[in-house]
Amino acid sequence: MNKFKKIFLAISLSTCIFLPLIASNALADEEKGEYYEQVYLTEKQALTMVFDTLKVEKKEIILNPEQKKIIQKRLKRKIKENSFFIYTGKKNNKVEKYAFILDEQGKHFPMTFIVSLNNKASVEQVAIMVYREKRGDGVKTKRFLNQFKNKNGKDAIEIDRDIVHITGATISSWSMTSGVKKAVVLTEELVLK
Amino acid sequence: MKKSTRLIHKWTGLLSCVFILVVSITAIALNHHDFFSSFGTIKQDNTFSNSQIKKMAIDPFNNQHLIASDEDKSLFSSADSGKNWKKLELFVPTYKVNNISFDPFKKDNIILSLREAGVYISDDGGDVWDELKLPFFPNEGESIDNLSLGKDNIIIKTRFGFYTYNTMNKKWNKQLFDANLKSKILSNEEFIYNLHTGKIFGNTGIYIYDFISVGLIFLAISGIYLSIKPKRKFRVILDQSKNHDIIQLKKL
Repeated sequence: MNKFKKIFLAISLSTCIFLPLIASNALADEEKGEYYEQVYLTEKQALTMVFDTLKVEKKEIILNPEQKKIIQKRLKRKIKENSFFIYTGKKNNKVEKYAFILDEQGKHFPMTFIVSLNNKASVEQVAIMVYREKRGDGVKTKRFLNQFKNKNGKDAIEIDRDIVHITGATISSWSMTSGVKKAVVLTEELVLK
Repeated sequence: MKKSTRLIHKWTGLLSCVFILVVSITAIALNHHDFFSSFGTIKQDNTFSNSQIKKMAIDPFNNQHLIASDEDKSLFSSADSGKNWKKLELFVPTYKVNNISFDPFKKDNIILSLREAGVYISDDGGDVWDELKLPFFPNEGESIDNLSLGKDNIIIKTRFGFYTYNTMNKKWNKQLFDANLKSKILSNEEFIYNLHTGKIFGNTGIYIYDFISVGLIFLAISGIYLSIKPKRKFRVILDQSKNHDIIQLKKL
């Protein structure tokens, strides 16, 4: 065996033995969940994106216990919030669009996103505004977010039913889906009802 | 080498290549099943029969009320002792249900654990659920092995520790296993599975195994191609004018 072959074999063997050990230790630290804020859109940018030239109004809606109960039943989960801010886009004093800026818990930290809906509570746009983790931001891709377009209260809006999750961002996909469903239900229950 | 030996070697090699292909592809599929499933169409299966039951719990306040799961993707409820089943929806996919418990002290209180997702509690018989915040991450290697329900506490066992949740003061008490015990907890089967998938080295190990598997797939395919492709034929020309030891190989 010539010298080159011996060196190559030694490097290959040490890589196979030591790299996984070193890397797994490094990854163990990373898996604890490091705060890593990535701002994709500020509130102003997000509202401009969804409402464009429409006149925007912001209003706080406080839930009464009955409304909260109905919303929780439709969402199949408990919600901690007792009030929500709704953004309304008007043209000639007529409501054209609604939007919610919501927070949902990701794997370790919450993520902030905007959901805009038309005046019949069908989803028009969804965009991530702030993502606070190093991994899993695949949910910001159009491939994932476009699945929510035109979804309304008649749709399941659930992973494995009418939404396909993103590989490597399973928890974030679940959270985003729950958040979009929340926006649809809130519009139907608090605005259109 | 005899012709028959060569032939045996060739066909054993070909079979090994096919075996390597199957093992490497299935190993990648095993490590990344969610990636492959994301390409599939979404199936909605709302049918359930008693033969599919793998986990089940009976309501201590109503003997007719059962909740069952096929462990994989579904959770069903029956109000008539299992004659008819109705799909029970959570706000998360019900993958890998490993425990269903009815609270024997509170009516309509159900606790559900999903092996790699978390623990979910319903206090209205399964209509509205709430996620119990855990002191560990089940989707990051510390999956839930077991859940037991006491009067004022919930006990969860994972491969790294024993966690007790006091439902009164809503606090967790951790009892982490020591390092020596941790290694003993891994059964032979788990050890072999982790070694096979690369999980023994963490997530990085999985990616390194993927890389090696892709390499093996390439070698297997190229090996099959080389053995199937027609061989180059050479003509031996003996140079009569000079030395007979010099042999020229001419491509036909």
